[in-house]
Amino acid sequence: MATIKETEKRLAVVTNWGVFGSFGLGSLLSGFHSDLLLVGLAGFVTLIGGFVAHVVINRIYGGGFRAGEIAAAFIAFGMAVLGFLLGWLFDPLFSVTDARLGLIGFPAVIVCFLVYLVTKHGIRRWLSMFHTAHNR
Amino acid sequence: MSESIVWLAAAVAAYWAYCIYWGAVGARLSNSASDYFLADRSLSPWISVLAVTGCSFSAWVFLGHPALIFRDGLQFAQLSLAAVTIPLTGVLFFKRQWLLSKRFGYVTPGEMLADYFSSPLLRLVMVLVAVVFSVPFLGMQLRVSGALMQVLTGGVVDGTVAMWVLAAMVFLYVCIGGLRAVAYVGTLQALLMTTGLVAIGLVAYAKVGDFSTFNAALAKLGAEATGPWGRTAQGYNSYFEIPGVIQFTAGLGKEAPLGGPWTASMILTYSFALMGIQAAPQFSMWAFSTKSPKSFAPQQVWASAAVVGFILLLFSVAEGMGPHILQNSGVLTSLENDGAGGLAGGYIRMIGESAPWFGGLLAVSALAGVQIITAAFFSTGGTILARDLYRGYLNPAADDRQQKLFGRIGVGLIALAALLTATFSPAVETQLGALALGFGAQLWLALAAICWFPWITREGVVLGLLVGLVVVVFTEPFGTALASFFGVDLPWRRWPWTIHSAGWGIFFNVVIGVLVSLVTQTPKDRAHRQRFHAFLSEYAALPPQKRPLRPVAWAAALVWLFFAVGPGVVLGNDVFGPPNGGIAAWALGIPSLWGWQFLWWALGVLMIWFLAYKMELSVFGKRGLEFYFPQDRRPVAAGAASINWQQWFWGAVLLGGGVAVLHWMFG
Repeated sequence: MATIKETEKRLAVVTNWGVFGSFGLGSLLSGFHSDLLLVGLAGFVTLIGGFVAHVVINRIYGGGFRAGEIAAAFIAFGMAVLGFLLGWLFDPLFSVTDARLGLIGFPAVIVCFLVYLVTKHGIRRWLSMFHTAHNR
Repeated sequence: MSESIVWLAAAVAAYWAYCIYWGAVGARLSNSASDYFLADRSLSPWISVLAVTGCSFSAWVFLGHPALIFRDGLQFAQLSLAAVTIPLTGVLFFKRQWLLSKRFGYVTPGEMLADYFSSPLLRLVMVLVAVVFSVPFLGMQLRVSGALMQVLTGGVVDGTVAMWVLAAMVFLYVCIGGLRAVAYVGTLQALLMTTGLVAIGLVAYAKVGDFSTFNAALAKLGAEATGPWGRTAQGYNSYFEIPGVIQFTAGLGKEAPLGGPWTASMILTYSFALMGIQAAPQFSMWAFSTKSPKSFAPQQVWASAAVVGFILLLFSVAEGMGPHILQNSGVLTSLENDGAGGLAGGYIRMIGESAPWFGGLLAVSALAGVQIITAAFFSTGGTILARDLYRGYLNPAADDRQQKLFGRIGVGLIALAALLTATFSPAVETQLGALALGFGAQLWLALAAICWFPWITREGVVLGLLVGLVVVVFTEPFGTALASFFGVDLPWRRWPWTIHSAGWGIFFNVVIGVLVSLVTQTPKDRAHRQRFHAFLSEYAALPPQKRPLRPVAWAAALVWLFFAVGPGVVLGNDVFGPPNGGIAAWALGIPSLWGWQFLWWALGVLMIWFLAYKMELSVFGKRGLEFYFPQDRRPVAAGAASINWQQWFWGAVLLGGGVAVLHWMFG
């Protein structure tokens, strides 16, 4: 059974994404739907804020991202990028603003993630996270 | 089914799953009665900060506050400074109550009062206050949540059905998970509520244009005389002026005050009423459940005063005043027509039309605002019934399992009573619900006695409390209706002399309490009470090097109260330029009263920081703490005779009779 500390860490993570995730995703959808670049970018910024807050939570409670969290994040990000590309290719309503939004937002998320890895593991060893996961 | 309803249903379902999940987690972690009732006194500071802040502001901030700004303008926005006054109660009482509960093992404030004053009667009075406070108040909250769903679904879902379903959802996670589940779910609820407030405020600004457009439109509005209260005695638009220090009117419903009800005296006494929120038994139990007092000061200073205060002043004002500016674009009409769902409901529906996923999310934010306080009242109400009635009188030897069972039954009873009242006697519920704020504030004297003044006696507190409660009743519509039933036509109505019922109640409560205390001193009782104060002095007294700061603290608090929520607020009407002078005449570039509110909000944060941190009213400084913490000490019940089942039966008959009489009188 999970200890109180583990439970509270999980609570902090879920609550964090409950707020940043839902409002970030809502803004993102509004940005794409209504061709509002700033609103969409605000969504990306909110999601990145959620990621930063998650890192802070990890720092406070100790330990890093769990395997399930990493998997969920990669799946969600992959699906979002795939949706963006499919929309660009096949959606007749896909606008220039939508393209700009995705081309700014998704790379920004990737850059933030890389910055995190470099900050945590150093410039030469930032891939160790994947090596560790692979070895595990 | 429209897209917005689908998103609404999806958002509510996700939120529901979250609540039930954490309810189950709470149940798994609740092994003992102490786990279930107080989360084993082990809530982490960050959880307490969020849950207490969410409960302190809840639906009245999300739904009520902007709606009243919409109706009455910036004169009501002065009460945004309640973000400072509400935690002021916590600053004065939380740390000391926490210390006492740690030392003596109290679970409910009734146990604490009964032990301190050696008065089982006071324990019963607390049960009565808690129940009378809870049931109609909860009924109001639940009805609002149902009405909100009805509005947001365009009438597809019936309000009463929605109310029962939503109440069942809250009941479920509270019943299975206890206070820990309430606190865990409360973290997300508090964040959703505050983020939702910001989001709606941003939408209001966006609809108008931007901040400068909003301000220019306010300037135009200031030169007009729209609104229900017309112009004030000074000739300004009542939306932009506090209509005097006091007006000697007979009360709302009989004699309307000129230029609006929010005079300085009303703002001050309404602030007292709001300060009563954290004096309510439910908040004492929040204090008891906290693992460490580290949460108190951040909650009071940063979460409440700084963050919520800023949100109320910047975003709720935009939300409330925005529709006046948008009246020519058709937005106002759609917002005005939303009835019980309120202004926020109108905004959410408007947002949902163009961005249904956001509409669903904001609906859940509003729901979170309602349910955070509902869940806390369910939980603490059940605990009070289980501990103060069942364990206190019916079965003093109850073990953990029995206490938890009766706690759950208590939650069910409170929920059922609130739902039945809201469904079948909405008139009674509305009238009784209006008493809630005033009642909460009447516990101030009792808490002040326990935490600060050993010379206040049991007789003084009991009589003061009873008189205060009666005075609150008779300065609210319930008292007027009660008197009218007996053929008495009171010469006043609601809030005479533009003084809130809580203000009238507090005045008589304190006068009676102090006078009676002066003539009922006995050395034996004083020695008993002094034991508690000796303990508090040992652990909570101000260090000698800081004692010279006491006059500064008093002066800061009194000056702030005078200018922020007291008679001095009228200076804000035009100190930074006349309300009808336009932007060119406004020294701060915004309406004078709004600028005044920002100024005193900032000073308020400073003041409460000084009290909480520097004066150590909410922190322990550098001293360590070691407690003798006896397990589950039984303060009163050990000496109290348990009543038999005949008395239990006749008590139930009397209760049922009381409900029947109320229903007969008020329909």
